[in-house]
Amino acid sequence: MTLESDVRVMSGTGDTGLIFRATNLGTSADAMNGYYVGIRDSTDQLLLGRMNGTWSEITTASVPIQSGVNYRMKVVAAGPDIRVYIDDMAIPKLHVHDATWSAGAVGVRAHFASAAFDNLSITR
Amino acid sequence: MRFGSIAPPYNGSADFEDDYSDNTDDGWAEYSMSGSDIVAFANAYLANNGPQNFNASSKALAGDETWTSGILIADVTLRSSGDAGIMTRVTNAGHGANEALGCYAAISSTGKVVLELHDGRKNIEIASAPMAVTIGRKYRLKMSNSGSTVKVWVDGVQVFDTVDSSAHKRGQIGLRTNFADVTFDNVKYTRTVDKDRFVDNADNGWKRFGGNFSLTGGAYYLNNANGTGTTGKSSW
Repeated sequence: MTLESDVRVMSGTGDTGLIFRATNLGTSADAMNGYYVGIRDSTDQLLLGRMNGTWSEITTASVPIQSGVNYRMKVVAAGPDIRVYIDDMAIPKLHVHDATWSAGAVGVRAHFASAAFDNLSITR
Repeated sequence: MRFGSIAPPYNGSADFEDDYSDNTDDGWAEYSMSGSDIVAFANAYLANNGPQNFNASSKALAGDETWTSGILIADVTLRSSGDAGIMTRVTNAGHGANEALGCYAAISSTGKVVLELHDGRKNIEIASAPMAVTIGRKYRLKMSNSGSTVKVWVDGVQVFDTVDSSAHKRGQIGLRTNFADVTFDNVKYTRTVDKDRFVDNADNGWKRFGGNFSLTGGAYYLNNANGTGTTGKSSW
């Protein structure tokens, strides 16, 4: 599964990005099972974690993030192999093995932030 | 609702399936060199282009010309010598054997699997692999197009891997025969790319969880809140 989208942080102290392999969603912040990858301008970070009703961070990378700027975010998930790309589509910024969640919906998420998304595509 | 029904607008449904159990060819457009030599009969789709019929070649196309990436599967049984197979990214089809643009994966009674790119004038073989092909035996052909590459399987075994097909970017799916009597069955096409550019300023096909959503200027906004929007199926 490959998920791509333009992601732009508009304002706020939190982060924003894409979710994948999401099931059992609810309306509160971490109410889902699945993965989330986000960018945060306040700490210049790219972060990847998973939820099962609560948030568990898996890893982060230092990436300069400016509010108001579109970043092309791509997630390539094949079994437990998960790669995350930002703008540079040749070299993943994050690469982990995590077998907690294997299937589910995809989506967008903002966490203590305002955000914009565009040009989303999914390849299964 | 299927994600594929969001945007851009598609003329056909998101996926396509036909097992001919209704004994009709609804949904198919037939291109043949001599009239109606493709018929739905006995829960299958029969093309009669065998050497004794002097018909040479015919095609039947379904789906939408906007389709780009997906997986096409069909059962193909040769009932005479010749070759037959499945097509993807088909455009500009006509009745002649060479009159279409697209990718063609086929089995041949000469004992091989081939992949051809059809440019409307010539059918160019870009990959070939020897395989014993028995007349009267059913083979399950599968062709996957993703971006600029095409892959082919026969009976679940991959025959061709990541062959460049960048000449053909989109088009319908199809069945084709060439100097062969053929039975096709259990055709199934699953699109594998879904896109939403939010140009319609709508999030049809999405579910909202929490948050404060808006759509304006062709983008999807989440405003000053925690929120999640999802699309797709739990099986993805």
